[in-house]
Amino acid sequence: MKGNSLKKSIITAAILVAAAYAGQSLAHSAGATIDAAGNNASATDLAEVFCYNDGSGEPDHLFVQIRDNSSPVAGLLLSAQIYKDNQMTNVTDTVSGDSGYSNSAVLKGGFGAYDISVSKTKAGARNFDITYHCLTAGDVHTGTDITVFQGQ
Amino acid sequence: MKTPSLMTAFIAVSLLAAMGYADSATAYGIGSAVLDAPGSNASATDLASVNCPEGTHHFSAAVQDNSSPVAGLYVSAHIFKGQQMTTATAPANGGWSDIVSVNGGAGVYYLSVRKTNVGARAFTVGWDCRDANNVSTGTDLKVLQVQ
Repeated sequence: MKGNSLKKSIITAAILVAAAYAGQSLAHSAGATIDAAGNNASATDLAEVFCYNDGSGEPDHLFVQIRDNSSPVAGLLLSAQIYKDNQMTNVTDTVSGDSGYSNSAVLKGGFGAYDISVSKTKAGARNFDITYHCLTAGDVHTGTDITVFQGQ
Repeated sequence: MKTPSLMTAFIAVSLLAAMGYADSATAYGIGSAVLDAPGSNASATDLASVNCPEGTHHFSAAVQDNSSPVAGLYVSAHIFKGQQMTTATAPANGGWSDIVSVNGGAGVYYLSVRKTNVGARAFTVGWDCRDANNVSTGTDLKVLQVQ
């Protein structure tokens, strides 16, 4: 089940504790395939990221980037959204299949639960990686937990 | 059948007059706006909440991109409630997207519109709260964010 594989990816990343964001943070990334059957244009993956002070400082914002690992298909683009407290933002990986991540999406919502989602513009399976980091106002990595709600 | 009737309603109202972002006294809601008017904000997102009354089974929406096609620039709408979310993307030919729904019962749903790159996009979005028999239960929309 895809949702479970996403959870496993997250857990694996947490166990490995690979260095990532800004050279000062723990890795918070996950990968999955959305619309594995390739027939669901509305497929959307959804998770909650909880930002808290783990001793590194009070959270100020959530930082997200996404990378579409699948080969380019005309009209098929992958996006990530962040929602919290009546605010929403998004980012799209405009170049599919390369090694680069998208630009960043940042939502300044302080402490608490943020919803992050991944969607695409039409039917077709897309393998992706997403990174998510709760950061202080000074861009120091702080407490970041994730719970997957929906994997499609 | 829900999909064609809802689409017909959306199109009919669109032809008559787009109401813009405002509460709707009609059974369904429909509104038009321009997202990222300066054309410089790739992450521009419009966001509203819709409070669906008791008796609601699902909330449905569709979106239409009214601007000229630009390669790599697509308009999508999302419905979000609790631990469920879905997505509809408007085709590049100016037609309506598929109608998508979240079966979340009564309560507050979030409806957003966004796009995949920088560039102003004029769009129309239609929305409706419906019961299990697909009868409209009314809509109460509140705009939260316009970008």
